Amino acid sequence: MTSRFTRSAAAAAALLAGAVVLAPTAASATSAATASAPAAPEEPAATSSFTLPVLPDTQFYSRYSASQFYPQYGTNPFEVQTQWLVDHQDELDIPFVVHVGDVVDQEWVGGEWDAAVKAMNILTDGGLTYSVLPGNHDVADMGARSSVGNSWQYLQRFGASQLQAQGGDALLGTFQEGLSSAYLFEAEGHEWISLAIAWNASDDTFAWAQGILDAHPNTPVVLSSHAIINIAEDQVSPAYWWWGDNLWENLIRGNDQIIVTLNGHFHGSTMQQRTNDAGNPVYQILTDAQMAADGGNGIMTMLEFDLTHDRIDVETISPWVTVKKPEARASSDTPVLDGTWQSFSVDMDFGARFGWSDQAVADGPDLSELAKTLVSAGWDGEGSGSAIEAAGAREDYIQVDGTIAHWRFGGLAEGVVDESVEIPDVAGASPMRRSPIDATDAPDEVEDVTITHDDVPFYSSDAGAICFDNVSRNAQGGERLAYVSTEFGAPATFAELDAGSGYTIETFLKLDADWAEGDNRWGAALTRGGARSWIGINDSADPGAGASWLGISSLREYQFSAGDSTSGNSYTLWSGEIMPTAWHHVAIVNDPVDRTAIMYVDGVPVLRNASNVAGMMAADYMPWVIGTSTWNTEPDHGWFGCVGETRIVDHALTADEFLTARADLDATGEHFSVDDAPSGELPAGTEIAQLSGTGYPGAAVRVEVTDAVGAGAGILTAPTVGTVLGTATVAPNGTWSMSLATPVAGSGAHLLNLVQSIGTRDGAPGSLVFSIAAPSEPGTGGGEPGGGGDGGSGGGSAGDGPDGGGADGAVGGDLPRTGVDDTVWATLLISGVLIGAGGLALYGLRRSQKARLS
Amino acid sequence: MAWKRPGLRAGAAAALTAMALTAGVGAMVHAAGAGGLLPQGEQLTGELIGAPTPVLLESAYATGKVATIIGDAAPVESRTIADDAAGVLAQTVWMYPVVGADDTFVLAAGDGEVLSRQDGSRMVELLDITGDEAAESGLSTWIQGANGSSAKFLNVAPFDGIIQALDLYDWDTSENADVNTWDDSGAAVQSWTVHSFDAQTDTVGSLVEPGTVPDVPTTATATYSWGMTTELVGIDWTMPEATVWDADGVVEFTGTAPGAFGETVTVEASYRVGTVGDAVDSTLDTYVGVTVSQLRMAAPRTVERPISGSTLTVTADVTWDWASVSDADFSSVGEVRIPAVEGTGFAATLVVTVAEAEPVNLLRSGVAFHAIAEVGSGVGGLTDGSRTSGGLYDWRSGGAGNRANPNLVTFYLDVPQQITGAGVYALVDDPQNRNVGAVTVQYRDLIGGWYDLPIADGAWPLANEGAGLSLEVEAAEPVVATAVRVRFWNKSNDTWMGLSEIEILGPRSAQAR
Repeated sequence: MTSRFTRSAAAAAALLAGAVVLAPTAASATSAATASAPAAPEEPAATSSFTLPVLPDTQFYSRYSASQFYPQYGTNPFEVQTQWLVDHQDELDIPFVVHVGDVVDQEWVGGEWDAAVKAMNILTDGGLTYSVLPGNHDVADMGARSSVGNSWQYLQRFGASQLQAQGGDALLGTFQEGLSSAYLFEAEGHEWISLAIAWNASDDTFAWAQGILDAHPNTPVVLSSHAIINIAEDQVSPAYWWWGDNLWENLIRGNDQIIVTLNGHFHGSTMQQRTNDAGNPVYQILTDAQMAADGGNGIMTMLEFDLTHDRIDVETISPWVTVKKPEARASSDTPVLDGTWQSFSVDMDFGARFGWSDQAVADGPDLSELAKTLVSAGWDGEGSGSAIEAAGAREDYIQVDGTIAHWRFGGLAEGVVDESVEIPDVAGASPMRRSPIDATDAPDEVEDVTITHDDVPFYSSDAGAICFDNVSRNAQGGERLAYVSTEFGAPATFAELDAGSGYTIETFLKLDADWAEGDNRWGAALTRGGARSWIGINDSADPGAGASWLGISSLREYQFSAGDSTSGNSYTLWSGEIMPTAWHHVAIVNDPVDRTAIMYVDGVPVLRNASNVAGMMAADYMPWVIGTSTWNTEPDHGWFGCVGETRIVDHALTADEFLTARADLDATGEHFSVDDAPSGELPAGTEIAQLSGTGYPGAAVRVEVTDAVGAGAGILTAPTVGTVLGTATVAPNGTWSMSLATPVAGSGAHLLNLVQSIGTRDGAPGSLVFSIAAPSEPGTGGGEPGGGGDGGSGGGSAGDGPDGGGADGAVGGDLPRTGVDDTVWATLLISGVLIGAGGLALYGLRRSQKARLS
Repeated sequence: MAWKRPGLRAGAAAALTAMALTAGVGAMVHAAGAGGLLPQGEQLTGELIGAPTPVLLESAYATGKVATIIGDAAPVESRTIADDAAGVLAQTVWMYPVVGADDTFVLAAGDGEVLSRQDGSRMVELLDITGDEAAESGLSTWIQGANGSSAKFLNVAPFDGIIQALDLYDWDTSENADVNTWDDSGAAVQSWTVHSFDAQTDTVGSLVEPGTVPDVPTTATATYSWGMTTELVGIDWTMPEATVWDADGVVEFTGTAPGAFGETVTVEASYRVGTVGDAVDSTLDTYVGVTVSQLRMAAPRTVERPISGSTLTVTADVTWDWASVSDADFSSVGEVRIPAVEGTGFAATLVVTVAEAEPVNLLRSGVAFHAIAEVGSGVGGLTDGSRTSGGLYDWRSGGAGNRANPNLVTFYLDVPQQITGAGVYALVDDPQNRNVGAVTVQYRDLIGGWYDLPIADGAWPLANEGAGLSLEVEAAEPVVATAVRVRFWNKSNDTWMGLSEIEILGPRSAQAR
């Protein structure tokens, strides 16, 4: 039985030859999925199916359960996953759960096993049986073939007796005291086998496994192991893994009953379809999320075995994201993931393959859809709390006191950076320069370093970056790298960042598309020079390294390291896996009160931070360098990629002060006000020629006329919609004033919009709605202010008392023309009727006599 | 600006004010009138005891935990100090002084239960007795003594002839550990820190100009000696007469606010009235030929500005007007005065004294450096002061086919130095020292680039025709270096190389380096 994927003739030929057919690319997979939908005139509504959940690489949950998760949440993602499965086992018809290994991260740490056992026991206590197997992190020597002696810690917790206790009758047998195991479970009227094979299983494991299969012929088998298929650099295509191939040759290809393999270990999600000796498809699925936020973000995979539609639906979900604290959420967090190999279907004609003649009873809903619905319950769709806005101009960022240096590239011309180019420090007096290539020991060429305005981080207002090309450890003539540096002894090199002050370092980083571990591991984008052992920093692993650096590890994780300014002990922060070509904002914040050093990637804290540390020990005169790490003060490993604007501040910043944050320019916000805002009904003949107020220093203010106010008699239509009547710039002291070229006059209603902006970024507008009275007939009610007797100074002075407008008069009376008074809110409700273009919300403007600085 | 002031802290104990007894467990006590904080449950009365003082008894051994009177089964347990006022009150021990007996107390819980030692036992119990009954019983009275800097509580009645001390049993630091008594030994488990309810605040104050009345803050953070903090709000200040603000001097006054337990906390204020003047001159000693770039690194970044009417100063950041001077200004002996940049807001002058200088070997004049040889050992001998003995030898295995050729010795300087010359010597009487055929001397500039040391005659590498090596060069112009390195080639591969001394010459420095 062949799969109904669309394929080329060539691939079809390969198929017949029994060779591996790699899974289709993203585009074709999508179209194939559509094409493979049954062409039957009507799809049965109810389904006979069950769900098989897969738990991948829970190691970081186990490792950080006690130190990070429990203190914050009283639980951890691993427990949230297993509890969710227990809670929904009936709705989702879950007969069994598969864990693909790397239960813990450090097998010698007892606490990690405790956390893992506690999470897995939730399944047992909740009535769910599972299969589990050791991954490379669960054994002592990950290079050795599986053996009892290599797995003592694992077997203490998940050995044969424990597996028997939780598996009961479902357990068919174990090998190597539980390292490999097999289970039989029932679902939808049929028997199924979960065959779990240990990491790097010894060859005799296959004989044991064959024995299990021989004893249960024609029973479909889901085979799991920690590593079976790998994933390519493109993070989408499957790739070869030697042991998985070994497994294929020795067990899978000759046993048609094996229909699906599951594994983790390699970071990402992919699928590979192979054809066995019987000419039938075997679907090999990789699912591993350990480099996502929080050590995996609680991501797990759900396989729906759909006997009615003869397919297996795969969905990837996370019950953890709804549990996370809002400030810990990334804007990309979601309970349902829809990447290429995270949501897909493959065909499987169970009946034909296993000779099942009985009709499956179609009595259930689409379980994978149901799973997605259930996991999304309570998800409000909000990622990180504050949306990040693009900047409106290069100056549209929040300046902070205590900035030691701020290097920016957007003001430099695009092109090659040679020794004549000075990288400005806009906050201090510590610019950076590049040495001529003849003066560097590295075999760099002039064109290796360039300034770009094109390939720039979207959320940096600088609109510029410096890029380092051709960086490699393995170049001709030695390690090829280049860098820009402040002078030794520049003012920034005397920065004292200690336990009393803390510090914040921000930058934007991008790895080159051709970044490779062999050439570029451990390159640093930013280094504070000096040598650790000469400075007095205790670091036996890197005694020659700089006082601090921010770089990239061999596993493509950001690494930041510094020495505590009191003890000199080195501390290090690590991000999750970083993909090349993507720009990221990275902030390192040392809070001296909490004594924490936390790395934020795109505003989200990483999992591996440092606590009980403060300050950055350094030596005076030692330079700040962009582009390389140093060893004994000489350049060491270069950064292959680009670096955006970089800022060093002498205290801990909050996220609303980061370079990615934008000042609140809203006219209705805290940084804007209008003096004496006209409101209510103004006396006939009033002309408004001047406006003034307070705002955000450096911002522009404009007054626009918008749509006509409402319809009907007596409403003044604006000369032209959208006309700008006047502009001003907010002075450094926070005040602005403008003269309107054409005064606003004429009886009737008026609507003016005030907008504050920086460059192309507008704040939310604020509106002034008021009306100007029509001139009254002479002698009627003249001189008498309507209503409020205290309106004399206001309404009465024009000499026209609005007649019958007692209420108006009172409002008019509230308009002070002179003198100091309290702030008064002129609150205006603008409904959809008033403004033609749809309903709008409440606008308010604070009116104040005094100028206020933002 | 940081204002140097004597480190005052409010030393006044909380002025306790009395309040009506409140009935009911858990009722907070609120201050009203004069008197003391009183137990919320029941206060012991009697002729033989005085009014009680509330304390927390923190174990000196199980720090962070206090002896808490619980109840019958385990009368006293060690518990982590609560972090809220209500919790702390529940852990409070009330010390009633016994009339006429120094340092002798009846200890009771807030509900009046008296802490006593069981007759014939080292265990403690709680007794429902009157204050006088307690004061008259040796089992129910305790003498506060000292264990070093901690307190001990000795039960007045001996057990088997031995005085018993309040004791954290089994050296147990866990929660709910038992507290009873044991033979007085002075041990850490019998040592207690007595915390009274005495909130401390920093002194409020700053520098104000004469004629201005400061905006005295109405809030402050008060800290209790066990670490708990509370925000004092609505501080009621007793302001001095307005005239005190018109003259230079110190103005001191106090204010009060309720603390976390309702008690009155006194806050002290101390303001200095004065004007900040222009800065005291800064000085810098240097030598003829120094460069402005070196002075910029060496010059002070702050100055002291005196406060009128006092001996105190304010430290202020300063940027010197380097644009007003050039290297030429420092080419002869004399004094150069550099003002602070325009817009500083006060006057400040950097007085640079330029003296004659002679070149010295920087590597032997206290300049900090780190020497690294690419190949070989004995690099320390290159700066031992002897040109004719000791030094670096760069043998490595592999024989003639594996000579280090060239080899490299680098001296990294902790502080950039001006270099005016160099000397490279291989004068030990051995084949290795006779094997150095050519040398290049380079320096690293302020942004890390390596350049040949500029010389008037000849070109690097300089060839060595003689037997030994005695290369002395003068820099054609002084350079400012962050490091210096010597690269050297052999004459033949028959043997390895040796160098006996390397000297790096620069002007003798005083303050400027």
